Amino acid sequence: MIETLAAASSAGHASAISSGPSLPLSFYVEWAVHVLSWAAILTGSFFVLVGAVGLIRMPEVFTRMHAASIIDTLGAGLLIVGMMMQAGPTLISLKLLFIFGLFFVTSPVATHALAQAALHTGDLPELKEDRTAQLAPAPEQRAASEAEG
Amino acid sequence: MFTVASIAVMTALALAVTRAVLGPTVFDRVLAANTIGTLAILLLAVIGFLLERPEWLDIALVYGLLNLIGTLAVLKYFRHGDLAHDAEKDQPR
Repeated sequence: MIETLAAASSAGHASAISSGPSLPLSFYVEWAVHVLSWAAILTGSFFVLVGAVGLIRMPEVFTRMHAASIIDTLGAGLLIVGMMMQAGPTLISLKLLFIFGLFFVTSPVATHALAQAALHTGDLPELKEDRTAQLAPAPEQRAASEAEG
Repeated sequence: MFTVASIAVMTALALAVTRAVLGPTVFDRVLAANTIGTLAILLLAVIGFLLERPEWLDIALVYGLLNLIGTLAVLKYFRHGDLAHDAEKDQPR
């Protein structure tokens, strides 16, 4: 891709000297898509790394889930969008779109189930002040209080 | 560019594996396993582009479908201690 761009730009340069600007519009579009996909893939890689570092450094499960969701949304999203720009309108792009949709649906579901399971086993988030009074009672406690009242 | 992306994803994989090994609670390990699955999908896609064999995306799709089922099954097991548990019975009416 870079070689063809260089060849095209040198050819365009030569023609610019001889007979004014005559580059086709598709050249500029291709160039812009290439640069945008570069930017998307590099920022996606950055966010994947940020999420992984958060997964190591965060103090407990709920904050780590926050860090992992960065990988699932911004990291995966930008990487897939960058790869779709590289692939162009082909079947490959459609498969990448399916993977993107899969992340879009399954990542919140998995995170929600994880938070529910962690709360169910009594794993409460570490907070600055104590907020257990505001917490909704667990199902068995609620059933017991309803039986009393 | 795909080399940079694959190196980043592999570094993230190493960090996620570290969390899976260290993770104090079982939920940390499940979260790390889920993240490892996500990163494996991304690595398959990126390396498919790097080697110019994008057919690997099919494998990535199957991996993504299995990842959710695996995570939910493990979570249900650790929450109820039983894969066939009927969660409807726990709901207050």
